Amino acid sequence: MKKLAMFAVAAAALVFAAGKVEAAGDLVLTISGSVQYQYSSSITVGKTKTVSFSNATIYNMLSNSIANESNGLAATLPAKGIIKYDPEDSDGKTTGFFYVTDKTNGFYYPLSGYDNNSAYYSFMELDAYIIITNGYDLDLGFGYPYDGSANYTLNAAGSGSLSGKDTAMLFVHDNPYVYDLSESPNNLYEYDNPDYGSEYIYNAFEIQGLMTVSLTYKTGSINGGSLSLTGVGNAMVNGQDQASVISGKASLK
Amino acid sequence: MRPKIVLGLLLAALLAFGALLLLKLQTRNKPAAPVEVAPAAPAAPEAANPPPLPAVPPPVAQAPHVWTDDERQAEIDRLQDWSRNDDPESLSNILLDLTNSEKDVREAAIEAAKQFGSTNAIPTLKAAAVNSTDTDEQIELLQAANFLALPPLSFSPPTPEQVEAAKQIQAQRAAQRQAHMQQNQGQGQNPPSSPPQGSGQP
Repeated sequence: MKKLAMFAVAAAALVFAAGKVEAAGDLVLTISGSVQYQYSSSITVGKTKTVSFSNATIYNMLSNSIANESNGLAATLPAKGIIKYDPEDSDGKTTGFFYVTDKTNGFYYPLSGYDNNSAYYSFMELDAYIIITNGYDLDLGFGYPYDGSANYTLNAAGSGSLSGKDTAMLFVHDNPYVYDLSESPNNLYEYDNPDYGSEYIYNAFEIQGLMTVSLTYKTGSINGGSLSLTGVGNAMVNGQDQASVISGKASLK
Repeated sequence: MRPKIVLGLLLAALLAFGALLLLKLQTRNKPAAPVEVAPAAPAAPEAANPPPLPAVPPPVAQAPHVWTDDERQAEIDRLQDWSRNDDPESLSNILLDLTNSEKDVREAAIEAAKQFGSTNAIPTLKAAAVNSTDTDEQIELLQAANFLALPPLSFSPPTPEQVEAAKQIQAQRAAQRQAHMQQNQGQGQNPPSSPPQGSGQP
């Protein structure tokens, strides 16, 4: 049993150390916004507070959470890590996934995938279903109930662009076993994970809104461009669920 | 003073102003380099008879530097790097690019200022908004200033008691929702087609 556990840990370490061949079309996440939440103490009852969040906030939340994970997910993220998004490849369950890397691309930690127990985990998801009128639809993450549309302008070699608009949801949180809120985006409060049962969440942010799609293609693969999502959503702040993202912007470029 | 001397002094001052303006324009169109914030020099005492200013060539209108795609992208990459730092030089570089001649670079500079997260950037963002002629950019600059005026969210790690309390609250909510759904079904109402808040199946 001990040997088995050691093998599992070694296997997980290999997954994270193996790295990822960064595709030309991988996009860097920039996120910012403001959250309003209620706070109460013996002095203040029912007061609201508005605070800001940015890349550093989200990264800090993920770093703290990942450092204390189990099931082979624990890792120390680099101090100045970068969150990137691969819009074309799969994490084993969905197309399009986030990962942490650094400036030299020498570090790789997938923010969704499978843990040591072959259970799916996800700290971050971008859900969108983009109907492409002249090509295959783009189904990112767990899809999203409100479909958008986009058009390719490609030449015979598959080079050109894709542009359009779609409703989408970005969900980032500290419990990797709470995922896929695409069908019930208001449900941050309790969650029955198919692998681990009832899960609770302590910090989470949603941005639901309109996403501008402007991707460039070279010989059939994404090689640049941007996805830009602006909106509002639910939030959990330090276990306080009476919170909302009152303005949020996530840009992947 | 005699009118000729006054006229000469005015002409010299005009030439000096023109030279300064030219120098400023050239600096704005260069790719941003680290800016050193030097301490202000003490003001020189006003001379009774100032020496004549050196002859300055009249300003020549120069076409602004046209950035290549690579130069533009390199500057945007540098802005992203600076936004992850925590030193005055990086902030100074970011703020300098708020007035860059390239719109893409200016946009990246606004975002970098937000990500850097220093309230010291607020006056420069507001000043840039006043000087900008682009309404969308003015809005972005002012929104960035407002964003930086907010306190940043900080996380407090949960204590075991908080974890337990949060679990209990969530369990209570689940029970309440379940009871509410059963009540609705008992009254012959159809359950909503999509899972309601708290029904929670992935």
